Amino acid sequence: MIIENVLAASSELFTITTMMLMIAGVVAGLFAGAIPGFTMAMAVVLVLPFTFSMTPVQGLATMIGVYVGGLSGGLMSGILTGIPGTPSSIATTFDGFPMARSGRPGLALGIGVWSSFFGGTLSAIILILAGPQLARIGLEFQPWDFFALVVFALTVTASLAGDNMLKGLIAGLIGLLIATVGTDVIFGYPRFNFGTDALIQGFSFLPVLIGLFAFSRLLSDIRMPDAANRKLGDENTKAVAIEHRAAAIAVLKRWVNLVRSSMIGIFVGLLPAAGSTISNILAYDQAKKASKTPEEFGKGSIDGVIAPEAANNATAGGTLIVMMALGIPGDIITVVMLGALLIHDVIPSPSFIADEPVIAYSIFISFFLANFMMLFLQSFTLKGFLMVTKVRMYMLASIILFYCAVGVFALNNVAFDLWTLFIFGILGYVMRALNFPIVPIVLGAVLGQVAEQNLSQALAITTDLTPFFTRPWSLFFVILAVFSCLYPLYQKHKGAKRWADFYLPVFLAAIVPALALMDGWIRPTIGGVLLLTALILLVQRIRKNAPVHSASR
Amino acid sequence: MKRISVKSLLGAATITGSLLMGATSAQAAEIPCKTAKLIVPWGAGGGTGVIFSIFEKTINATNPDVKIKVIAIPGQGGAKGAKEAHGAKPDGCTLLALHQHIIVNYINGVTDFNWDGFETVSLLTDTPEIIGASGKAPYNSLEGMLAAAKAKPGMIPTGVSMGATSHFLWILLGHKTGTDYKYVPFQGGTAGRITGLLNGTIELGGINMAAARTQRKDGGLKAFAIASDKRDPLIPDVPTLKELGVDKTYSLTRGVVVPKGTSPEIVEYWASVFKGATENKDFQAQQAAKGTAVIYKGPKEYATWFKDTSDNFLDAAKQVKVGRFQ
Repeated sequence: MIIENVLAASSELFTITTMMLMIAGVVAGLFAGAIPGFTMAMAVVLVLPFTFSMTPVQGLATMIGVYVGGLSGGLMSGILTGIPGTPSSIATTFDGFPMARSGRPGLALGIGVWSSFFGGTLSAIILILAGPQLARIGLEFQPWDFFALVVFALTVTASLAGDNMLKGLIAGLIGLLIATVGTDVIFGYPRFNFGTDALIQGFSFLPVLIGLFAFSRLLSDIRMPDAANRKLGDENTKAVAIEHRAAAIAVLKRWVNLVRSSMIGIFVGLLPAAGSTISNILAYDQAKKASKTPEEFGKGSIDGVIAPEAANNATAGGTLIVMMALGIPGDIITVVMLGALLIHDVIPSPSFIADEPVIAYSIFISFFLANFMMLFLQSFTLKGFLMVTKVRMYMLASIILFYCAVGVFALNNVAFDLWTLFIFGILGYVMRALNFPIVPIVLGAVLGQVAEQNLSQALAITTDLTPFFTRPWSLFFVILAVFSCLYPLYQKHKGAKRWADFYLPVFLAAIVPALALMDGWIRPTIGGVLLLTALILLVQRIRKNAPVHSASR
Repeated sequence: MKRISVKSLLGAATITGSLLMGATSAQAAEIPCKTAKLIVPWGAGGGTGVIFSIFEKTINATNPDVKIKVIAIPGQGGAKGAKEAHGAKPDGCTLLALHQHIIVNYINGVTDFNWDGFETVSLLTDTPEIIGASGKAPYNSLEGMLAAAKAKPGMIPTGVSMGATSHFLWILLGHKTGTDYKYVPFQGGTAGRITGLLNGTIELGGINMAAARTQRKDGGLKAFAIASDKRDPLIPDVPTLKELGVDKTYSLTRGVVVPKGTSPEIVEYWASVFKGATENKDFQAQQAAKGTAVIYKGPKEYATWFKDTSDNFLDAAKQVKVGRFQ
């Protein structure tokens, strides 16, 4: 059955025209992803009119090419200039950029590309094997669960804050404040617009993000005349080759991180909330927490590049599953894909894979294939992109800023978005100068709206708060959030204070009730295993500690 | 040959065409641009955006004197783009694609102009609303739904975009049948609402044709009625509201308008251009698959239609006291 469908889909897909279209799509995605200010959303909207006249398979394959290219393109500018090309590669800059600055840009880029590739491929395989079953998880999420998930995601702020927790929290709250500007979701009335027309719909996310990340960074880079005259790389940059072999080996050696980050990516993709913008940051945070050497994060850790890049490509798999199995688009790309399917009178539904096997398997295969194309094509585009490191900073800054402005304007055709870019550029510059971390602001600004929307839905249905603790997913994330908050304290006291020894077993035991409440038999079984592990660990730690304890007495 | 192609490229690039002022078209309408912008006040890739992208393609394929370019200006439930068009020069170079949101925006006080702040050009497509319910809802027909709503007034969770057309569907239905619902904000549009219905977060909500055709098979969704005059051949088992004794139709009716003060010649010119596009067979077939009927009404009939519809909305809004009538 599977083989039959794969063959049928292949004969549709493997034609010269379709392959050329897909390659064109990947290249378009790579470029759109690489240029800060241009996003996948823009690339795919530009591609849409062309797909009207293609067959469904061709149109979808092209768009999937743009999707995969766009998710991977962002790493080029992220690693080489420290400015994320797309929101999906925000976390890639944390370690990719320091690694490139410390003289290993070839390795950093290689790791980025190979992590993207493995993350995407892993996600494609899971998409083919367990797609429809996984898609049902997306349906288990009701407003209470989403809200708890967002609360958990916000606790990541604490670990992204770096040395100064207080400044991190302030930054996160500023982000939440930004998200409150605009029309409120319950009554539809304007809020904090100070009587201006432009602010009625709030700040658009993209100009806020680009202002905070790109504009502020460029301003800091060209603050002093001699800094403005410098180039990004030193003179030997031209000798840099992408270290494919070393990178691929380094990524595969850290397979635990790779698999974990890909799973986080797929999971976030299943939920129609924020997509790869969130998944890359979540995966980075988990990699840091699980690492034996968390102090290397932010200074050029290999794990810190693998996690976000594997996660953002894997997210695409999750989003595609939900689109195909439920007909629910999770992000702009799948919205446009769904639109293209509908024009051809193909409508995704729970029985889509059985009803339209050729199209469904074409989506699977082209997603799989696009990852290979991305790997191959990126090897070329990277060579071109490396040239930017030879351009003087003041020139580079003005060019990037120009593209940012064009990109921001072109997405919504609103002139005020340019002011938003400017205002948040200045804000970001000031905050950087005062040593505030920028990422929590972005996290707050993205998640604030999701949180508000879901909380207001939950409260519109019932003002009773118990569902937050009785619904399994909600309970699960509430517990994760609590332990995530305690984590920095645990890290500080590890080995020094006795309670820290019990952090892990207690944490494992605490999530068991949530898992036990979930549907099916798989998750309750996992819960049982966790409970057992927790008990074993607990006994071990008590035994280990007992003599130490008595000796100190 | 080469010069012509460069020129047409320029025309496409300079959207307002102000650079080409004076390069008048051969048309009597005297539109001072080579490419007019058609403002779609919703995000690219959404329902309205896709419909008008197809118009754009169909019209430009006929090589007209003035091409059109779709510009998406989303925000404020459609009011952002409408304001932009409302303030534009009435020279035929700016058009606005809209539906009933223009009336709803006015009622909610987001705009201070209604449909009559524009010159109507043509009404083009009609997408009737489908009254949908979650598969988990304990009733199976409109009758059952209304009975449940009467038994528990204001208690049945119903997904709507607050203050948008999907909200007015229920306000108008409630007004007609003496029922009231508990509105749960789903601002993301139809897709979010359908997810909410599938997982049982909400019990009721308007659904689209795509969902009605596919999600009912395995019991994820129910469709009680379609708010049109006739049943739709794509879902022949779903009765109309009228058949069920509720004398009400409700659809998203899309059309094109131009800024107030545009000359009647220009209005006529655009009306004839869009009329030509609606007669395209491919176009009709593509729309039918999405449950959208292609119908054409000229400037005068469109104005009459808008007046009736607007009066209907305003009456209901005054009676249930929403928006500016609170």
